[in-house]
Amino acid sequence: MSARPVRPEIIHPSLWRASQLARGGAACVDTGHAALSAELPGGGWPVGSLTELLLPQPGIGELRLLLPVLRRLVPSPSSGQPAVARRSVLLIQPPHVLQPLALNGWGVDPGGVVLLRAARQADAFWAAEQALQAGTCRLVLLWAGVGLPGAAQGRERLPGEGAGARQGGVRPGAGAAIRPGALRRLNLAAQAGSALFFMFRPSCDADQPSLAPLRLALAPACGGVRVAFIKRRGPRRDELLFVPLAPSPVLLDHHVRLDRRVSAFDPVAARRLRTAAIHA
Amino acid sequence: MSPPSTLLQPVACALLRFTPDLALAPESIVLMDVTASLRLFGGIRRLRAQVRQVLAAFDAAPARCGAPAVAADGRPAAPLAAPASAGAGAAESAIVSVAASGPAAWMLARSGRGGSALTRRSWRRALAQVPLAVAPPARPFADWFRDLGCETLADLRRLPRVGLKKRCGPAVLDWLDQLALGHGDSATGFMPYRRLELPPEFDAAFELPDHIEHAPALQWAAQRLILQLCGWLAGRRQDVTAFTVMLAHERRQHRTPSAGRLLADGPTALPITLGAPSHDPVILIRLVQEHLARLILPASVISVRLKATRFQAARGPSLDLFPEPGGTPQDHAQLLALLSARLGAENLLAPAPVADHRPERAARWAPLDQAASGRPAAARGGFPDAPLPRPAWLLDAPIPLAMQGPRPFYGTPLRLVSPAERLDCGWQDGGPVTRDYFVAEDESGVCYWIFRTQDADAPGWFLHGLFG
Repeated sequence: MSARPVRPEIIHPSLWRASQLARGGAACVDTGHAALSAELPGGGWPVGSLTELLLPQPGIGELRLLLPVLRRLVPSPSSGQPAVARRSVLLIQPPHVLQPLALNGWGVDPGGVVLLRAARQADAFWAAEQALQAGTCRLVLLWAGVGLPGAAQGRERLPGEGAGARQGGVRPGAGAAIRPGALRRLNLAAQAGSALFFMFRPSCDADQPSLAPLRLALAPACGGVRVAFIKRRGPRRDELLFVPLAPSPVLLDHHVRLDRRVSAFDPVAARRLRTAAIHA
Repeated sequence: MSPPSTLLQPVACALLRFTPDLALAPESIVLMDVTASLRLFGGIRRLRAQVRQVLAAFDAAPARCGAPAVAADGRPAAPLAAPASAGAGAAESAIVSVAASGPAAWMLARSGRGGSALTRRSWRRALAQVPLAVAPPARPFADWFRDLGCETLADLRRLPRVGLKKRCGPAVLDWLDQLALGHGDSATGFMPYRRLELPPEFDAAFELPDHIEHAPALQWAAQRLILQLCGWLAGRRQDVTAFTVMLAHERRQHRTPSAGRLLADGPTALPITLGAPSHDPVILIRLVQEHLARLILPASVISVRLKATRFQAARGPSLDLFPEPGGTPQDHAQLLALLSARLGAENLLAPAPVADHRPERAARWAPLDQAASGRPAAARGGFPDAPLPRPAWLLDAPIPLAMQGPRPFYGTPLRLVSPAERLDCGWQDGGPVTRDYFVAEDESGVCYWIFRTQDADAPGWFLHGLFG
């Protein structure tokens, strides 16, 4: 017997060292962002499991992070690609009104999306569970406690209350605590099907325990998002990962960015530098 | 002999799901030939378990006239009489018996014991336990047989045939022979089978034993009617698309000028539409459950009625060798119907954009059924391409922004990072807007869609959208 330790992946594909990313688990779908895929176990978003994305507030680029997946599932008719399935993308309790024009501008067919409003969080969780168990949806997005004064819940409130809450703005309110049992049910339902399941939660829930195998915290950044890996099957990573997001709403740039965290060799940053030089 | 059970017809109707060869035998017994259904339902044991489940739904109501029982048989060599018979004795609960022939199953069910007699041995054992009074032709001579010490059918078979024929006539012997041979011959009058007549329309009612105040408590009554509906659908090879549950209310005193009169409220109608045609009781029961959970009753309910309003010829099962991984479109339609049953149809939305420059009017979402029927933008070949970026999230109402010097302020000072986009429209329908839209970025890099307006009533900067 040799003294060299045996590589664990030779023993069984489900084994990995603490310094490695997990492999051989469930099927994964490419995220479309090379830097992010390289840091995720399996090389992409896990299919059939609960994935948590923690947001400080809605509108920091969370949909553009999922855009490559959306484009693949419900491409717009003009792109010529065949749709995988009609109406197989379910958005449950989104924080605000979704603009169909924006989706269309991104190359996503808005007709392929079904939006669900729920009066109570329990109803939203029930709907997600049913959708996952039925196994006919390809992508389920669930917002839990993100942007409370939004479209879904603001309408259910009393007029006075709703106005007050709306004045509070888009800044996140304290989300109602999610029972661990509810998360467990959702994860089980996700395992029953083969859908991608993302749950958006407020950033303050990062310290609450969760059994989601993958938890990412998103933070806003110029031209993209910064991703923190709170939990993943793999080594701990403390530094944030910058993920550039493709259709940037920024059209003018009067100033050259002084963001040292972005590499000058980053193609997005390089393009921005060129644009800035032209405008200057 | 027990009076004919009022449960017999509904139970027989519900049991049509398992086999089309179903007959109503005398003395409240339903006979089913399940030989051809064994493989579909996974064998005689599983079939019997499913039959028991159906009967359990009917047992939930205390029935005075006794409840039925079912017997089934798994010997494919019995062409005529491989039965499941539902026998209703005086017992409160259903008795299920399984035997290799119709008369044998009838006998087992009628004895009140149930059980199965599929082999020769178990059949002999059963005969030794069935009391003599079960045999209809032997009943007039019950006292005489008792004096002989003859108590079970096995004792009866041991008596000399010639003497028995002389004393009791040929009927008793004929009956015993039929039992042994397994021929149920309706011509002799021994077992006058009656086929279940199915009405062309399904409309069944159920009187509740008690007044029910809360809609979710009606679930078991509705379940019973749905099982009947599914049997009816299977018997007529139909799929239901829409049905109505009618709840009849108690008469109660109204405080009207003509006081003192008892007026009955009109029945509450609960129309239920399925996402895709189906005859699966699981889907129907879940759908009704969600509808009942949302219902608030105006008065207590005394009876439930179920009427199939739209149905169509049933689709055959899918013949694909490999089923699609994402489920069929029918499955997805059923899911959406279930979701809309609980959340309300108005909360299940699909885009129905309007050709308007004002974003709050253009970004219209309509309930799924309405959006599917008329999708003007999609019908004309897609959406117009927006020249400038549009935010994914649009706020319900624009939020006025504070100012810090010349710059709008939201959390941090905002910097404009796009040229202005002028929207000046709406003069024709009374909602004129004059806005200059900008993309603004705050110090942490979040982009906002803000506009500046010079309207007299509320000039200033407003936040209107978020770039998802």
